[in-house]
Amino acid sequence: MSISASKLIIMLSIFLVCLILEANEYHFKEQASPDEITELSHVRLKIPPNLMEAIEHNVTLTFCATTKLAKKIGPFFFPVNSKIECSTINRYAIGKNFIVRRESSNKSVTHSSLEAVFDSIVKLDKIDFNEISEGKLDDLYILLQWKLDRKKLPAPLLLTTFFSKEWHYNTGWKVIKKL
Amino acid sequence: MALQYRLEGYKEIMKFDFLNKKLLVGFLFLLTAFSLALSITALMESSKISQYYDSLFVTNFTCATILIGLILKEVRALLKKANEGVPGSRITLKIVLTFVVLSILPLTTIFAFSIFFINKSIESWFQVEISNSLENSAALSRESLDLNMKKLLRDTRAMVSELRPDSIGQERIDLQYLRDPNNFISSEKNVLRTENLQMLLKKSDAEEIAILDEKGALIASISKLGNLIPRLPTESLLLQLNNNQDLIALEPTNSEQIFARIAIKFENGQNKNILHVLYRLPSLINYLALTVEEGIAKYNELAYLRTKLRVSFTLILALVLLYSVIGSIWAAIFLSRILTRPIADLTQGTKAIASGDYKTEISQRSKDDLGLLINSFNEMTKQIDASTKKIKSQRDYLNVLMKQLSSGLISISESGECLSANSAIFTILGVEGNHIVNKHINKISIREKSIEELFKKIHKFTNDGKKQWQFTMPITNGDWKKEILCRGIKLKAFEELQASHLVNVEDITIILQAQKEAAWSEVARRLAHEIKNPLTPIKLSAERMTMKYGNLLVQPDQKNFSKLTKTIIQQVDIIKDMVDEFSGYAGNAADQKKQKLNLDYIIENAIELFSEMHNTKQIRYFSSHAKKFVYGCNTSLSRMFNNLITNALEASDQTNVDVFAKTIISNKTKQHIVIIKDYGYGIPIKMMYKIFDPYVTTKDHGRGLGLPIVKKIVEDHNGSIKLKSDRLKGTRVFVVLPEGIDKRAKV
Repeated sequence: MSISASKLIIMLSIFLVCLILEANEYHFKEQASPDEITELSHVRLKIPPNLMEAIEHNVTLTFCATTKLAKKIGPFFFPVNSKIECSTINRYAIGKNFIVRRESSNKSVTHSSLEAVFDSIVKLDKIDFNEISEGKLDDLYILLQWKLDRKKLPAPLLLTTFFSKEWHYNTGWKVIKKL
Repeated sequence: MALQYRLEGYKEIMKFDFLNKKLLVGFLFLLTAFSLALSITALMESSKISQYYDSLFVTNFTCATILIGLILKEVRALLKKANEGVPGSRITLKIVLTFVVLSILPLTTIFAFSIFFINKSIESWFQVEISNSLENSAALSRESLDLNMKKLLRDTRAMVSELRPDSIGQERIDLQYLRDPNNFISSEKNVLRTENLQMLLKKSDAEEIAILDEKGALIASISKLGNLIPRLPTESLLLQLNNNQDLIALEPTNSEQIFARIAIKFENGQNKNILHVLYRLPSLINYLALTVEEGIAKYNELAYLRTKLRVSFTLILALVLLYSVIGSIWAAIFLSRILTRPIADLTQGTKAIASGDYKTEISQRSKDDLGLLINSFNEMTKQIDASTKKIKSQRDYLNVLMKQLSSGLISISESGECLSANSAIFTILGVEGNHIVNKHINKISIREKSIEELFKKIHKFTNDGKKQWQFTMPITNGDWKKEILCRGIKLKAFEELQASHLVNVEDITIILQAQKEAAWSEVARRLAHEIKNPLTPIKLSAERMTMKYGNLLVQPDQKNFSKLTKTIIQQVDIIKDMVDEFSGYAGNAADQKKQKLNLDYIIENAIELFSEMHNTKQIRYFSSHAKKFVYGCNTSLSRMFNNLITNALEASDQTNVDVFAKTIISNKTKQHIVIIKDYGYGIPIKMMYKIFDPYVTTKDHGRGLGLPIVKKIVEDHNGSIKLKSDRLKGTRVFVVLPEGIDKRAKV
């Protein structure tokens, strides 16, 4: 079976685009003075108004924080280990308050306002990787990313917000600590 | 046959390609149908599937793009084929268009109505009455819960009076850590439990009682839930308490149980403490509140997603419509191909027949009307093939006949162009085909002017418009002279072949010659018969007169008498010789006795006779070694060679005469050729054409019967004679005699 040159070029182009996108995922400027893990409580999420409005209308949203232990080689960060922590936000219609549930522990906390909700969810557990406890700290970085879990959105929202940047909420990777 | 192989090969490739494409399209349609079904399920309600909604949408979109691309490619190929006039392509295109139009119209109607009904249905969910009812039920729930909460608040305040502040422990722990829902202290540690709190917990409906200081630090707590660390209020709630407001809040949990959280501030000496109590709502109220909560939450969510639902359903329906249209187009393409394949085959077959390939046979795939048509077509081609073969064999037969014909035939068009001619015409006229065929007969250019004149005369007759005509005219060449009979007929039945006249050209030289010879022969025979009878009495009478009366006369009368009778006898002898020659010319070889003779012997005898007579001239004889036997009359053949040698000697004057004899085998027949050659002055050209006619002679004293007699003897022996003469170089006579008996010969 012979593959024509045009098909080969298309396949190569797709491969290159994937490679660039993958590389771009781990290529960003390191913060000048990265925050310590203990200072994570000062982080504030800038949630787009559309998402806030959806929560106010009893739409359940799930936000996930991904932490990665990465090694820096040149301009790129190569992940060594990672953890994901997701929190689901619900509005209680009768009580007019908001409930945050941590998926890992299945514990829920009630808040009277959305600001309080987002203030609480950014407070992560102590980030602990095996590599840290074993003392293998040779040029390692801890990266953090907050994003909206689109998979948990109701189906009508998935389709209609497919091309909406707000509904692809993602803080991007940030270096939060250099070990 | 070649066309059929080519067709079969093309069909095999097409079949393979078609099969591959069909498989690909089928797979894409199945994938799309599955993906669409999942999308609709996810849209309706399915949290597990809905997380793949993006992927499903991308799959649908990709499949649609690929299918549209394939359709565009197919349509482009169809248009290209239609432009190129490929058989069956235009009808395929028409069928595809018809299918598409027929499918799009109802599909679009159904789509429009579906959208209308879906929009109406979604809108009907959000009627003002329902909205108001839900709001009212929420308000009612709140009122009911508020009543409960007020009672619980009163109970909590009552607890404060029963608390003995001196019995409350003063040990403090860090609430900052405990406040987090993920951190707790097990009740087994039993650090802060007191007797008062236990009593209060037992007396009340509380699930959990905690005493906090003003800053939220836990002083003491007790719980029915078994938690050592109580479910403490959040910072915002503490802030509310610090603003001297009692805290009353409903808190749902994951276990479908709503708790009432009540916290009040109370004076504890100089300090201010907080009594924080968690109550479990009564099960009925809890159930009703949860049901109302669920309904309101769902309604609010749906109200928020109303537009998005409409858009989603529209998009899904649009996708369904798109796939239906794509499916109908593909079905149209596939079905039209299946439908038009026999038509394409028929068209190809018709083209093949038009190009002269009558062996084309189309394979019959179905037994429907098209199958019957193909069957009829195959029968027709077989019949055409058989008819063509028959016509061809008849044409070949006619060609053979035409070639065998000794008469020449020419077909002439209305404009005077020679359309065709048989080979005999070229033999008769001594011309080549390209001199006549496809040439205008009035403008034929041939070296022999008499032939040109012949064609001009034919043209004149054809232009006269007579139905039938004929004429004779002589034509000459350097070597021969022929008498030609031309007969023409005007054709009416062959106008489509453009032939308007058929001309028959016959060489009647031989017939005329034979007629002339027969006439001369009859004249000679009658003359000989009439003259020969009185000659003998005349001669005898003259001799008797000499014998009886010669001596009776006296001189000089006797001398005169003798001279006169002698003259009579001499003239009678001359007349007798002449009559004998006439008899020889008129005589028939059949009457003569025939036998096997040695030709060499006859020739040598003749030469020997003349050698004795002509001492001054030499007759040379050159003969091949083979024995030369002929079956014939010795006297006739001897006479023939005598005549020829006599002529040669007379023509040669003082020079020699050469005689050559050899044997050849032509067409499995042994023939003897005898050539008598003299070196005289030759025969004038004008004499050549009639040299074998009686009474034609170049000699002063000749009677002109020698060569006609020779020719008659040769022909009586089934031979042939030819004469070639070169002026001042001499004459050669070629005599050809067959060996043995020719069955055809009338000997």
